[in-house]
Amino acid sequence: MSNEELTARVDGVFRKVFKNEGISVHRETTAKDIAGWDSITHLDIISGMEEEFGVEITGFEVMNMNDVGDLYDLLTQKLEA
Amino acid sequence: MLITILVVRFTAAQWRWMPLLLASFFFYSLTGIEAFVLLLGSILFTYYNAQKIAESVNMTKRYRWLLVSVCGQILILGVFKYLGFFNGLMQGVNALLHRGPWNDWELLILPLGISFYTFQSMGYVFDVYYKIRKPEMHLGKYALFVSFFPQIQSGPIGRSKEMMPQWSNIATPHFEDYRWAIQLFVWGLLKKFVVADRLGNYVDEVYAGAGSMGTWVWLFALALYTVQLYADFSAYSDMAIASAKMLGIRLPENFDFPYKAANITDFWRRWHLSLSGWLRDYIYTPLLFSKKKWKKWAVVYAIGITFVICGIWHGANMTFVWFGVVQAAILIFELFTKEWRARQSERFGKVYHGLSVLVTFWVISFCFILFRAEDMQQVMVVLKDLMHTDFVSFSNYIAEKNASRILGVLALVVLFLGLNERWDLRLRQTKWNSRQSIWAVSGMLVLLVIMGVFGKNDFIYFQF
Repeated sequence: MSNEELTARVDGVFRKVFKNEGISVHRETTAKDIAGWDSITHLDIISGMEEEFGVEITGFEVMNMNDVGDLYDLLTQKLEA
Repeated sequence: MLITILVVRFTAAQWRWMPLLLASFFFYSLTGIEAFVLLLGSILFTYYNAQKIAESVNMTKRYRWLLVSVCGQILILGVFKYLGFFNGLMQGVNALLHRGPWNDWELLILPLGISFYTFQSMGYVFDVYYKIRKPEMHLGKYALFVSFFPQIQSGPIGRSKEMMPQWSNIATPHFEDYRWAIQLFVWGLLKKFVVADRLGNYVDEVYAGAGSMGTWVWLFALALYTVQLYADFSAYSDMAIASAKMLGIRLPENFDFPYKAANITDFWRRWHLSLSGWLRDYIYTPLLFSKKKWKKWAVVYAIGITFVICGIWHGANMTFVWFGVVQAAILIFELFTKEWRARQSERFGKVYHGLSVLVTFWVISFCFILFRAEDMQQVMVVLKDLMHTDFVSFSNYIAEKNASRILGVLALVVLFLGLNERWDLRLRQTKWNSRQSIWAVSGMLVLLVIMGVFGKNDFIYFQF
């Protein structure tokens, strides 16, 4: 999967969770940058990613995520495995 | 303290951890040799466990070492802090089952700051487990992380990723840093002795007379206690942050104007930030994601357990357990009404927001009955008193206290809540020159001398 496709599909999940078609995330985006990104929406984002990409993300992996860049890397790693 | 500041200032940056560790050990040993030995034991135990976690390649092994560390620390907390609570619980169970009286286990010493330093070192072990940071190999620097004297007694609870890097190259405090720290320290003194302890006098009297007070007197006391608790704990935090700053160390902030919260979820994002952040990262989030398939119920599950732990952390008393349960119930209620509340907020705008802030203040004031009361019996007495809506006890109270004093204390509360944010931000983000700083500090000192209530109480959070 190309980087462009990955970022577009990640954006799609964010738009669905936040019900906002204008949202676009990048590698440096963190929870502080999007209003309403709390632990509950975080759970929806992770579940949304699992559904979208057909992968499983563990609690351990979630604890290591600091920004969207970490999410991209994790998804890339899981999709390549 | 002054000697430590001078020694640290004139020691090379890479060696500053040494006088700081010596001072921390010295101050802590003054609280008792048993407590000091326990602190040393806790440091060695978590230091060793973190190394073992990092050495283990296998995930099961890592998890086992994490369990050893967490269970060991909970056991230490249980033995030294919760034995009295356990005795009480067993007496209740025995009475319920019509067994003979429970032979109380003998209570041991209650080491100063045990809840704080246990959580701080436990957080470090979690960080190593989650690979957020590598273990600290330098035992002296790790010991300093656990025992750093400005924060060991009542926090703020430091996080390893923010604190550890500072020990290797402790910043040289400059004139601006000292100025900033002195301003904040004096502001802390003012909050403690002018606001918290003055309000505390009124609150103590009402609680001492529980059983003979009416609704209005209690509403007055509950509101005062909320402000007292905030002024008292934020004062301590500010003084700890200021003391650390004079030693070249940056501690995390602990408050974000909690009385501005528009709901209880928001309140916990503004109150005791170092504890709520700790609970969020090490308890709530792992619990939440361990049950993520439960969707919204995973949140209910995680909130429930996290806030019961939060309650118990505060003290060995059923009042704190109930405090946690009530917080969890309110947060779950807010979770299920989140969309409805968002719609109301859109519809009614500022009016809705203002009312929400007011309601939140009163909800938390009622919850703090559980924080302030000595036991559940007293909580029930207060709740019964609150049902007596007559004005007679209130007018008697005003007559006894003198109306002008009551108005004076209300004016102090309004003034404090009204000016606190603006003044606090000015002190923290100071762009003042030296002369303005001198005026500000002198003004605060004059107020402190004229209006301070001295020799009354320790900081409330010292008991935790």
